[in-house]
Amino acid sequence: MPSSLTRRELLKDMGLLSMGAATITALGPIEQLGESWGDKPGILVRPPWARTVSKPTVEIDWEAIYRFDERNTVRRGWSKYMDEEAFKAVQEQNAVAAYERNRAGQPGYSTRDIALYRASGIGASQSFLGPENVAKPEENNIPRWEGTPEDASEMIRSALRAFGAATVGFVELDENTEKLIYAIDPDGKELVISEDTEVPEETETQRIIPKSARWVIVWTVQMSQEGMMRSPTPVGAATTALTYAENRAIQSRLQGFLRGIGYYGVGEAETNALAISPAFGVLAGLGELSRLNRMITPEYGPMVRVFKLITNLPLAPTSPIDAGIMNFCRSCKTCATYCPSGALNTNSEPSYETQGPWSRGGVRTWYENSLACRNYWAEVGTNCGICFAVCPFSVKDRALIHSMVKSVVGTTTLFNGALAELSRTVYSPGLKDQPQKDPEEWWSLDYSEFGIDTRQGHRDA
Amino acid sequence: MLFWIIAGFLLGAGALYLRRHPAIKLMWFDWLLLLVAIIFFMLAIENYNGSMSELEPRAAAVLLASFGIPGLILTAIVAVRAWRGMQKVGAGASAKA
Ligand code: SF4
Ligand code: SF4
Repeated sequence: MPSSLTRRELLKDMGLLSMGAATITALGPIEQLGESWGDKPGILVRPPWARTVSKPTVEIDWEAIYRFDERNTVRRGWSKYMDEEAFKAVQEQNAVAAYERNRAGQPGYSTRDIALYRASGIGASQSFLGPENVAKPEENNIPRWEGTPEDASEMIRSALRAFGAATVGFVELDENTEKLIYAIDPDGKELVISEDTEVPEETETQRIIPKSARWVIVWTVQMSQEGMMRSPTPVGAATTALTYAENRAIQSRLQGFLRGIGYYGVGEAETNALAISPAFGVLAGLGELSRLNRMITPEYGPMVRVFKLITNLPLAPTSPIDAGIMNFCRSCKTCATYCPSGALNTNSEPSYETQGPWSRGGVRTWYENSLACRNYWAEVGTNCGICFAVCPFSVKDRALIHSMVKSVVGTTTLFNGALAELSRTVYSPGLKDQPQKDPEEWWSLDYSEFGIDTRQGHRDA
Repeated sequence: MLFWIIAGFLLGAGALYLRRHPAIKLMWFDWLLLLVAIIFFMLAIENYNGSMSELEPRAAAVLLASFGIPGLILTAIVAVRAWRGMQKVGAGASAKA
């Protein structure tokens, strides 16, 4: 080093030093790159690689779409698709499988795991019309809330976030999208869209939605990746049960809120009732349809449950997105490879051909064998979710690599095959019909509330 | 953030040392290689930390190696070139003596 430094040299060196610091400080917290999100319509803030598009990435033949009877899904109509003897056998298996595995000492089926699963489903009740314990504005002689549809969408998003939802979108009903409302609810009540009434009603046999209620609010509730990675076990299934239970409260709160500002919202009378949630989620741009034949979000991958409600509050719709997810599924197939029942479709291209009458058709997707899936659940005595756990989009987004990969996937299809292979090598080393992570280890984790990161996916968190 | 500010100052100090050391002569492409190496190291550290906080130790190790090894190779190239340069300077000096 020179023994004497001129003032000019000193200043130059100091400049170099602070330039180093400034560059690294700017580049350093590079995890923030993934959070420099664009605020597209001001309502649904998305990562930069999720481009809004005019049509969803999945092809829909609206002519072939009709209002489906929810009881034809395997969820509700399981017995319809098996002969009596076989159905009786799987039901018997379903009833005892968890306890048999408990007695055999299988990890993830301990008494505390089963108790956790059963207790996770406890929560608020839900109903079509919602609770009536929030006063309507006129009851207190105050004005009903008025604003533009954009203001209304922003307000509902904020309220829903506060109630526990993750992402929120909006769809305006028309003659096509109306067909995504079930014709018959799971309990057998007919869902009637009526021009003859301005208020929703529920009778012994019908649930009546006024035709003037033209807006669908659709939202996601996060599931825990750490929980789901322990599927298929009761400790893994607890996250699904918890999310459904959470949502019963979220829906009731939203119905109460709408009532409190002078409007109404009709919701699910029970889990999965009213309308096809992933379909509305895709139309609202909360995610894209995938090989799972479920919605995958850019923020949480498939680690969400999707819910919806129909309201007479005029709302500004949000647009579908293209984040490269459906294209990625064309090359990936990890879920189908790991699915222990072989229920998931392995064809590279989606098609209009269904695998059974439990699917309505009319959408060019990867239809699944829901019966094989449901029967596997009976075999393990709980729900499964391996396909969700191994999906490359089911990541916690703390390491920068996820934003980097998702940016590439959202921009080009060139590297999809290689990236899927890489993800399998790094993240899914487990066996096909086994939990990807040790279920016993779950009990020693310093778990976050509900097992989720509520900052994930939000710009202003 | 504090970690990256400290890392930035340390790297700045390192660059200062390399620039002002009389025996070390780096060409512009040595600096370029060092810059790329630093980016690799940063990616290695960020992804290692991120993956560990995601409770994915296997991914953390793979990412640390995937980004760290190229960073090490690039640094080694620059170090060898600088060392050879120093040898030459040393040999020149003893020849003069
Ligand atoms: S839940 Fe399990 S059985 Fe069903 S499709 Fe997914 S991986 Fe297959
Ligand atoms: S595992 Fe792969 S193919 Fe399956 S849904 Fe996820 S991205 Fe698509």
